[in-house]
Amino acid sequence: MSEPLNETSDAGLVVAISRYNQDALAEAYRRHAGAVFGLAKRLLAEASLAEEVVQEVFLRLWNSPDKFDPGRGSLRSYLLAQCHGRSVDLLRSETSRRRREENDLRRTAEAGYDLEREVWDLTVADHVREAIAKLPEGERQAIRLAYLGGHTYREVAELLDEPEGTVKSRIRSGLKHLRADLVAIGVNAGEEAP
Amino acid sequence: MSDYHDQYTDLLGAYALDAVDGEEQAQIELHLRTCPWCAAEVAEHREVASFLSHGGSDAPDGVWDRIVAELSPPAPPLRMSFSPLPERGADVVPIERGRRPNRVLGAVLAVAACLLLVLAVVAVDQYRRIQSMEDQVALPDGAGAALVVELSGEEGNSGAKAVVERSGQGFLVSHDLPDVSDDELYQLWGNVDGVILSLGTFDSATDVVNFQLDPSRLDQVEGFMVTLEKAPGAPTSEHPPVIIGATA
Repeated sequence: MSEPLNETSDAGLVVAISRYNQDALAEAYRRHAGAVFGLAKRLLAEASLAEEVVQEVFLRLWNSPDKFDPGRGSLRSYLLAQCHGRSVDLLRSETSRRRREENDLRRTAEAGYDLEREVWDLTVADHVREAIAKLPEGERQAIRLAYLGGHTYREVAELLDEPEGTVKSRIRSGLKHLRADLVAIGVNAGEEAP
Repeated sequence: MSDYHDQYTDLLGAYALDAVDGEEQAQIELHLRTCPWCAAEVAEHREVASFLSHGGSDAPDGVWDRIVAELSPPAPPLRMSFSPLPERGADVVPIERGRRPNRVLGAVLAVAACLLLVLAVVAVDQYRRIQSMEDQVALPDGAGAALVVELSGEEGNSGAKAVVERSGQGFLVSHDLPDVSDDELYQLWGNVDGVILSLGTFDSATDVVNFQLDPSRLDQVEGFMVTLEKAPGAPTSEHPPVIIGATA
């Protein structure tokens, strides 16, 4: 007897999706759509656009499951990367520019906003916050503006009034520091989401 | 590591966060095709970034119904080109015992059978996809494909067809490009809204060249071209196209 889908690994779900198993897609949606929607909404600040991105991401998984390589990372990070790329495309389009500027104004007015508030999962949130808090301020700012603000590193350099080379180095070193810290405190940055 | 490699490494973090655009993005993507170290680093960065995403939301109401409404109809059972391991807990059917064969010979035969099975699956899968695309190309208006572009050489002595599905999955088929020397290869480029993107490299023996475009930008595709480059390919080409074609 085969394993029920709700106990199947993410990689197993994708294999089932490649066999046109709609229930497997539903299970992947149940597990990850909330995170995908959360990221899209965070970037686009508009629920209807974020929903479109969710729809695109899961339809792409259905149409091209072979694009997901389990050897390269978890299904969650794959879906979130797809979501981020698509959201950033939308964000950078001319029609979204004005909306984005308005949202930026609103966000900067929110007291206490920082990267630490954006971590995804309560079960690892404390660990991730701890790792983020240990980052040098320059690295934290650069990653926040690039990932959650949807800015290019050149835009980040302008916003922070720093050389472009410094910003791209900080983004890379910040991500490496985060990974090392997460591993050190027991969060496996390569493991599947529950 | 070479200078060619080193010039990209500092950008990998920004690239993983979609913070690189334009020509620079195209150059990194080309480099990642041939550099497993950098590709692995990008995957690691994306894994870390996934922890920074806000996941507290519930899946939005109604989106699942819209997804189901757009799912393609059931299709042939084989689609991926690899055979997964059996699922945990799958039933094992005992083999009827008879005279026990030589274990080593049995193992060799089993491995050979598995290899043959995998090769057969790969071949069948490739054949299906290729046949499907060829069938679409054969239709007068390319029905079923989102884009069909004819590429041809300046003197009309070479040609190919670029076919792109609505998913963004593309194929360069039916090319008749001449052989190239060992240190050269062909490179396929796409023009998307005026930006030239590298879509991959191939040699004259490659029957079908697979590539991927952003499905949301297919209406911005202006054309394709193939250039002859020194291996392992070029981030940008300074050579004239061997064949070229524009969207209608």
